[in-house]
Amino acid sequence: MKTLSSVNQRAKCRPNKKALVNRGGPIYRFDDPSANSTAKSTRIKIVVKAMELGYTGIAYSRTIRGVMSDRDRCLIPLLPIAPFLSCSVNFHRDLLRVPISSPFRLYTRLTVCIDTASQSQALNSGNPVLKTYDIVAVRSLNQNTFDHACEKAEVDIISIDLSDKLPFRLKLPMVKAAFKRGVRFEIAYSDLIVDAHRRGQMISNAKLMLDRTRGKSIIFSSAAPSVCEVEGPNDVANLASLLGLSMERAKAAISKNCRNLLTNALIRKHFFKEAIRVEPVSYVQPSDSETPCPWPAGWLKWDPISSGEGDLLLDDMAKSFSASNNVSKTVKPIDFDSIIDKIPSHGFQVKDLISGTEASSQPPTTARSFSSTPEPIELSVTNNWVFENSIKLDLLPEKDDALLDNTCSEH
Amino acid sequence: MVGFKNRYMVMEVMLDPNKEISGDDPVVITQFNISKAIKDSILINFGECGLASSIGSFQVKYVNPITKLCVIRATRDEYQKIWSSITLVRSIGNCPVIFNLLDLSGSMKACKNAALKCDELKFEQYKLMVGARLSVDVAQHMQNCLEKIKLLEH
Repeated sequence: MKTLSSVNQRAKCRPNKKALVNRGGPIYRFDDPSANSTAKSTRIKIVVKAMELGYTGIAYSRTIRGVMSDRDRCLIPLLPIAPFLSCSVNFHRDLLRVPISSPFRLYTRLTVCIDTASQSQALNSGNPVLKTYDIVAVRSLNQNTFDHACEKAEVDIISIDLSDKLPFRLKLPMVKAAFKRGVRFEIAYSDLIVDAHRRGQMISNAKLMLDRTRGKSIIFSSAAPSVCEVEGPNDVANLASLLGLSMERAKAAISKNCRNLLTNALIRKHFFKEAIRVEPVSYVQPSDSETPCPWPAGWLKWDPISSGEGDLLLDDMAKSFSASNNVSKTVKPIDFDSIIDKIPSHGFQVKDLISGTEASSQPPTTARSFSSTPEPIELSVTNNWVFENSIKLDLLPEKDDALLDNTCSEH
Repeated sequence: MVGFKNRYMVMEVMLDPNKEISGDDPVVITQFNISKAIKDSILINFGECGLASSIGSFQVKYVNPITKLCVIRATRDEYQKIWSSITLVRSIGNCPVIFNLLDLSGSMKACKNAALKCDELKFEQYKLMVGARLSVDVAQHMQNCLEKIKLLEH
């Protein structure tokens, strides 16, 4: 399992399952999406089990080692739902005091194993592959890369393999630098459950890590290889206290820290320079009964940890047994980073963007009962770095003065 | 004044999570086999001394094989160790299990209330899962178990 690959190794996906646990608000676990069908069914079972135990979120993890190439992830939220499952979910959520109607969230996570300096240079904010995942984690294999990951790399989580002897030392100034930037350290608890030998090694390494970090900014994740290693949130908090964390810190490690991590990660992903996000708002005729209100009802609600497509509302799931890939009807925000190069020098006008849009591949939203408006204008700017729709939007000016001509001729 | 300080844990046992959901139980859980599995786990993880210091007040007070609920008593000083050992139990007999804590309380009275509530809710889920195959003696057995909870003593 721990064979070191040569430097020239191409990106390889290891079927290494990881999971993140977080409760109270969201609860997450990471899971590896292999193309294998048995692995897929295992993954589905793990997701269902996590949901049943009262967790409110899960993140699929994928491990890449070596050089990154253009790869994407897609969520496959196929979950078989049986009626007693929603009853069980409600039961556990009630016990954990999680609001019953909060959706079960699905995220994507990438774990990059780095062992050379060149690979660690790739973990910067311009990397397009990283942007397709919600959460980015790094796993370093030697001292230099660990130092770089703590100080400079644009990642959310630093993950260390605790089941073997540590290949590097956790120096205190590095750890402090990581805290300042908001990078969190991850402890995987499945090593405790799986094997007696790994348990011992894991406990000693984890104690060392907790000693350095003093228990702050730690998140717990489960690298559950199968559904038998998934534990409930209270049990995970207790295992954490076995490692020396106080119960309060342990509970924070599974709930609050994860929630903060997700908020930051999603802000980094969706917001331009972590501050601005532009979404087209569908225009709705004011209904005759109420006072005319220019904004549709729900637009001011912002869910900071929603990843857009990944939320499963439990009521909806209980009603529908179909496993169709529900294309979400949320509008996608404008992804500035992918078009930042193409902004003309005389300024960026939103109307250029909207006017050049093409109808998205989704079917138009069914008309609301009270409105007879045109369909909401939806942007089809995807988050892909490969800017597939560039031809249609055509914001690529060869010369500056040709810009307006181009966009006008497009619709 | 109460001399012995205890903690009462209401746990649910999930048998064989890998299997299909609505099958029959591979192993029937009883007080004896749960207690044995937990003691083995304490022995492996905490050694002879750990087992010896935990075993004084350790008892599996109540088990419901239909809804897979159990109530475990532990001494207040060692309950975290015992709880961790329970979490680390991987199998009962040949069947892989997961223990999940539902409630933790310090008095028998609170524990009884919690156990009654959880048991009833879990029985509702069981009825949904089993559907039409619910037999009368299962329902009767369930009633007996609920009566047993009410008669629990510390």
